Amino acid sequence: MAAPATQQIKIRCNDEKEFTVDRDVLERSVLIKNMLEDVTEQQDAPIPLPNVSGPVMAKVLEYCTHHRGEPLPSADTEQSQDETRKRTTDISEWDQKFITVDQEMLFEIILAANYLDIKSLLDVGCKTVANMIKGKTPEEIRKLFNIVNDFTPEEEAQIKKENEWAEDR
Amino acid sequence: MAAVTTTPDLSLNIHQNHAKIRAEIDAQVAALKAQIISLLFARNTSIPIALLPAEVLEKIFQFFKTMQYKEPNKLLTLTWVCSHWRMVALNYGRLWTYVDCTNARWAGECLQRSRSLPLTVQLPAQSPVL
Repeated sequence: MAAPATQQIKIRCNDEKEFTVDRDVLERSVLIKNMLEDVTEQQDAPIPLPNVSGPVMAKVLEYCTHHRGEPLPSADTEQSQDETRKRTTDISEWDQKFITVDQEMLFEIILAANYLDIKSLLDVGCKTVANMIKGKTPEEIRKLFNIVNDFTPEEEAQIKKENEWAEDR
Repeated sequence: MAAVTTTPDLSLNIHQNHAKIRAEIDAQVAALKAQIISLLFARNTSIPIALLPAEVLEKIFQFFKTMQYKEPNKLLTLTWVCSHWRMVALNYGRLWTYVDCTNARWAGECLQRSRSLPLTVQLPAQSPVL
């Protein structure tokens, strides 16, 4: 007996790029899942995603396809989410390879995950950035992200003070 | 040839003029410095990481805190990068909930920054509380 056909959903990105994707893959996104639940009739028009470009969506779909079928993170309380984060600062090997992209793409993926409400992808992105910052001095962090020192003289004076009392530890 | 002498009044005028010129230059330098800082701040809004909204930056800082839990003073690094990161980090109370009472200045700062959130407190080994 043939397996039941998976429903396919069409989405359209902000650069007019369209994707036709299995519903269960798209439902990794809580935003799209809720949109689909709100639609009672079969809809042929693509779902517009005005905040995501085609190349970024292609990466997001690669992630969602790989993780399809996995349980979605439950809506825990704020405290238990924090505890969960403490236990899970590591990133799986596949996710590490997946997120090895240039900085522009990395931040676009994080932004898309935040907009589409894909918690696990947002966590992978944020952990990656936290790992990049870890162990670096402020100057090294600035260099890494092309940030310039824009502190006012008042802020500089405050930072100098903080530096002094932090060294007392 | 007659010797040139400066009267006290003339000397006072010269000093007053110089003071005025210095004050004007100082004001212009201060205005230019403020303008440079605004330009640097504006430049920081046009880099890839600036795409991220404050709540995402907070999430990154939260992971950083978890990763650096053995060295909580490393959190200060986040506030020393740029004006935007400093503002986000200082306004994110959950970043400052570990209070190390072995350093009174640090403890006071953390209490203030963490607002009314639940705290994890480290007391000195010889604390009378223990």
